Amino acid sequence: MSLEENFPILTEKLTKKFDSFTAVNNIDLTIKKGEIFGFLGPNGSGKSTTIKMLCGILEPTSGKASVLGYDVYTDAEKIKERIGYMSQKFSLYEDLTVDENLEFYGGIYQVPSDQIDQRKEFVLEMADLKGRERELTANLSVGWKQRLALGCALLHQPELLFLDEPTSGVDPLSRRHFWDLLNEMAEEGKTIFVTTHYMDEAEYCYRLAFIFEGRIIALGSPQEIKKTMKEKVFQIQCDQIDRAFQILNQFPQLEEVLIHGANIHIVGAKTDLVKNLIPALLKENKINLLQIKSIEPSLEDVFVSLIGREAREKIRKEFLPCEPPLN
Amino acid sequence: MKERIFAIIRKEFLHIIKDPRTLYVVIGIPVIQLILFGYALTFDVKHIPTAFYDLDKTPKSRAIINKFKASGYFEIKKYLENKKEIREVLDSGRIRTVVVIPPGFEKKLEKGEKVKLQVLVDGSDPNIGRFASGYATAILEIYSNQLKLQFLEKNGLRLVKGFPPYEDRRRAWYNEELKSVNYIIPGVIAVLLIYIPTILTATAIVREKEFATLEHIIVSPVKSYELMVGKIFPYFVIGVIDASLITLFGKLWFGVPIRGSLLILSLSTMLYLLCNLGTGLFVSTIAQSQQVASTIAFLTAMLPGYLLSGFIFPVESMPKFAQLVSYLVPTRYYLVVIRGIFLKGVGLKTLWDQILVLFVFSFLIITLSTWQFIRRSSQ
Ligand SMILES: Nc1ncnc2c1ncn2[C@@H]1O[C@H](COP(=O)(O)OP(=O)(O)O)[C@@H](O)[C@H]1O
Ligand SMILES: [Mg+2]
Repeated sequence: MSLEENFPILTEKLTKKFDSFTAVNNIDLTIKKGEIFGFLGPNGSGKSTTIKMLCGILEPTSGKASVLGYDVYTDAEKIKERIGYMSQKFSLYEDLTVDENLEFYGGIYQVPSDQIDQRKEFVLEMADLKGRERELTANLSVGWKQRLALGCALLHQPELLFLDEPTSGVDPLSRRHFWDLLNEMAEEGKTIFVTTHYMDEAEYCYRLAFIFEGRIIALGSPQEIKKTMKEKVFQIQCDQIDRAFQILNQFPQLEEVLIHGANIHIVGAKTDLVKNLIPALLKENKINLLQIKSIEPSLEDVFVSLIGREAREKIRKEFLPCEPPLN
Repeated sequence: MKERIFAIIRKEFLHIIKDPRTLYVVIGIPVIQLILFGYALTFDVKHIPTAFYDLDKTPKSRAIINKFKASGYFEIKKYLENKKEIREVLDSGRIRTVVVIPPGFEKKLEKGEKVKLQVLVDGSDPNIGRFASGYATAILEIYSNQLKLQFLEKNGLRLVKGFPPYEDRRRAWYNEELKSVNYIIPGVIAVLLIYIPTILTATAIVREKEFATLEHIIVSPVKSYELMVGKIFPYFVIGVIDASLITLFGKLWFGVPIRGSLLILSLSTMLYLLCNLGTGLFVSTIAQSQQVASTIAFLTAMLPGYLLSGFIFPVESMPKFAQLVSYLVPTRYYLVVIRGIFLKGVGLKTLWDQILVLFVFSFLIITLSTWQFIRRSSQ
């Protein structure tokens, strides 16, 4: 097998500038056939811009990118025929029925007429929409719409799928169902490039990259990424969690203070500081402390600590010519 | 390639059929506007109370008074004897128009010289004034042409070529019933064909931007020109249906004559539609919301089409600058074509230059907006 067949997406120093603003900054990606690759980052970090370049609808400013062996600069039309795409907004026509939407996407992807019925059947089955072909798309709930949109992107049997925040606004149960579908497809050998800003979804990815301000700040499997974390994470269980968060968040020495479910996470602070300062602070404010313990970082903790460090470095470089005072 | 265009066309027709509002915009609005405009702008005034001040008192001057009576537009209430009375009767308000026949009227007519009637009107109702002097001029023109014709026939000069009265005679016959509706309706058709294709095309594309479905089409193998053809074609069909519908309606309801070639009318209507569809396409590349698209379409297509085309105000009477701008308004040329074909029955020989301009315009607008569309959609 050739390099391209093993690696449907290969980029080297891929960069996109809008005037002087760099939206995507020197990105190197090597994505393996049959994997679910997660692209994580907050809003505005350059996820959609990267996808658009890879889909051949946005010309990069510099760098290299090949998708399914085609160069994005010169062979965009060939790429378009062989990829599936789904965006956050689902790209469905709400005034058309389920079947009419499928018919349209089948038409623009030129699915042969002797195969279209069979493919539609498959998609309806997958999306659990059998028997609802004549229903108006507007009347479907968000979860169904999402699966129909995925179905539309799969009609022409692409080997590579780009999903740009496909789960935003979808309820947790449907999201779970959706990820199961993605897993099945990956097992069949499809490659999936998916962006999200839900940290919990990152755990389902085979590998992932954190992107922040256009740059990749971490890349690897969820386990690998967690291992790169040098800083400690403490979990605090206490009463009045919102008030406790407000209080702790005022202390810059505690670095990153996050609410994580029913607990508070402290990322990157020194152990003795945490052990001494926090019980005293909470006691002083009459908040009942139940437990403080050092834990395995979650992906969110890693991301926050990375962004924190990034931000600190940036501030140091730009504003402070000398070493900052120690915490 | 064909499948892809076909898929887009099919989908577009589905949108149209499913949305009752589109159907209303396509069929309801044109018919309603045609009726409204037809009646509002063609308020023909009949039985205008009129007095005559005949300074000639000859058989010909009495004949012209009879023509006025026979037209049905004037009701003769009084014959005046001196100049002072003119003012009195107009001031009284019971008489709206005074027609003065100048001395030497008959002599001038017989010599074939140009004669004029003086029409004095009660200025309190500008409409009546305008109609009265318009009718009076027309009646005089028809009469003097009849006389010229009689004179020519008597003298066996009928076949003399290039003799001006023939031309004059034809002109008076374009609209021999003097019905302003005949003049107005073709104009209304012309302006109705601006807004609907422009606005429908523009919003149909902008809607896909709003719902991000355009993004998906751009990611698909559909080429820009396929998307464009697929989006425009349905509205071209609708434009043609609209044009036929309101033309037929104008003919059946208002009895407006169509004297010229339907083929030439259809062809130039299609060119004109392309101009407007192209404008819609262009608007769609600028606007990000349907609201903005309608506003731009209104300002750039509809307003000039109504005001600067000669539909309401004759181009010749506009300020110099407006006249220059009017050269850029396709409706200006289409109006000449449609009025020519409806009222005068003229053909390519007279209209070729206007049709050529329409052709050049549609070509330029479509090319420019295609270029802009492709440039924008590949960003
Ligand atoms: N066409 C464009 N022109 C200028 N700036 C843009 C354009 N598209 C995106 N950006 C900017 O690039 C950055 C990254 O955007 P995007 O890739 O959409 O982020 P994400 O998908 O991660 O939320 C944002 O700051 C956005 O404002
Ligand atoms: Mg995005």
